[in-house]
Amino acid sequence: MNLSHYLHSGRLGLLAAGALSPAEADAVRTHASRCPSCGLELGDLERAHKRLLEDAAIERPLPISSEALRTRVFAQIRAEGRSRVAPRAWGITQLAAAFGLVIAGVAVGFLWSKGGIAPSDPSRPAMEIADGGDAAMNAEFYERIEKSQTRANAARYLSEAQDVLIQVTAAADCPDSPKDSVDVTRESETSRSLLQRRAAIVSGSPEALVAARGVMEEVEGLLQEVADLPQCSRRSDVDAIARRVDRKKLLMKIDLMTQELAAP
Amino acid sequence: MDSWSGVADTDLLARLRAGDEDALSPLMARHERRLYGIAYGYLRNADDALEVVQDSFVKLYQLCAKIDARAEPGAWLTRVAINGAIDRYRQRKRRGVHETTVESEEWPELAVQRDPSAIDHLHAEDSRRAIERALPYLNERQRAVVTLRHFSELSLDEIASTLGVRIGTVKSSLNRALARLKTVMGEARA
Repeated sequence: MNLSHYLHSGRLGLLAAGALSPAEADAVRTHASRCPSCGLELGDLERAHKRLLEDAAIERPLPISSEALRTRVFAQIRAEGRSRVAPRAWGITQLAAAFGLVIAGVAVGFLWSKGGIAPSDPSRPAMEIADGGDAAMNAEFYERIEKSQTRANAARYLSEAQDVLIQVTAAADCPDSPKDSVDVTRESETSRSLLQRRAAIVSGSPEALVAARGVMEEVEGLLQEVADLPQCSRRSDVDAIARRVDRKKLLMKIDLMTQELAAP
Repeated sequence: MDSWSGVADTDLLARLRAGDEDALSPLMARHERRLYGIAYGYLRNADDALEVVQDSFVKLYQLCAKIDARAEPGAWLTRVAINGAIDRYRQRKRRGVHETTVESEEWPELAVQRDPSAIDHLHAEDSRRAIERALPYLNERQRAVVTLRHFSELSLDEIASTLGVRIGTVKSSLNRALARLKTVMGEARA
């Protein structure tokens, strides 16, 4: 392996995809013309790229007419109402608010079952349950909701942690970074924020997360390492984290656990 | 519809923001096929792709007041559509109706196809199948980058802006994605 190979072999895919500047493309193509293995690799990549473009160029009309689509869109708008804001991915604030609501609900249910809160509106359905005298059923109901919410929050946390670990792996592999350093500022910040969320999730209903404990501990360890990285990190440090993610098969484990947690 | 032909997208957005819901139709006519191409490219399922397109236009209508008045509606719709496709893909995975996802850790176990002409021998239908077989080998971001690059012909800067990631991440994702697709597509022929 010579310097030219080291510099250019990692950019063959970008050259094939037409994603390099003319000067960069010239340099990589010149190298590929002199390096047999890179020449072969570039040929393969260009054929794959061509196939993708051909597939993208296939005429794929909408399965319904434009008129029918318009009708559907306006029907959905009418049904949902203009003022409604479409649901978005939950941020920390929303998660905290949802978590707070669940806890408040459980507390209210518990106090109710003990007769600690006087009902102010006898027409409310939840009160009918309490008035029915079935306090155990009431507590069980809220406990189920809390567990379900904890599992949903944990699934969301793991999914976002997975994104961070993928980002770190990609950063380690980024051909644009300087040779010895990698900028992981955003990943470090996100990791710190995720670790704070983890503490809130686990403290909620730990028994709901027994099966996830192992994966969550592994994820926590790696997030902690990412969080501790300086803004401009040594490539070897980032590489080491990426290798650990790979060795532990953590992305696959997160996928499986997320599915399990999200299952009804 | 012809009466809108000379009106720029940004002006249509301004009219929509002002409460003229007729302005949505020309925006749909201009962008529906492109958005469908992106959603189909990501999801490879016509029904799911259509729903993503429908949801994108509904969101444009519902959220038009919150969109920056100087924003290009086309770029905004692209962002909503690709994120909608990713969300739907995740839902499909959660429901267990996804393709057989292959994690990156399993990747080295795949035999590397070394016949350089293998991909050349793929015919259109083989090619489509090979691409659909290969896509599950990509992670969500790689899949989104490939879709936006090939189905929407966005520049790397535009892809980075659409996905909210750095351009270096787009480059590494595209580089890796093409390498993986090349190997699996070649293998499909073998």
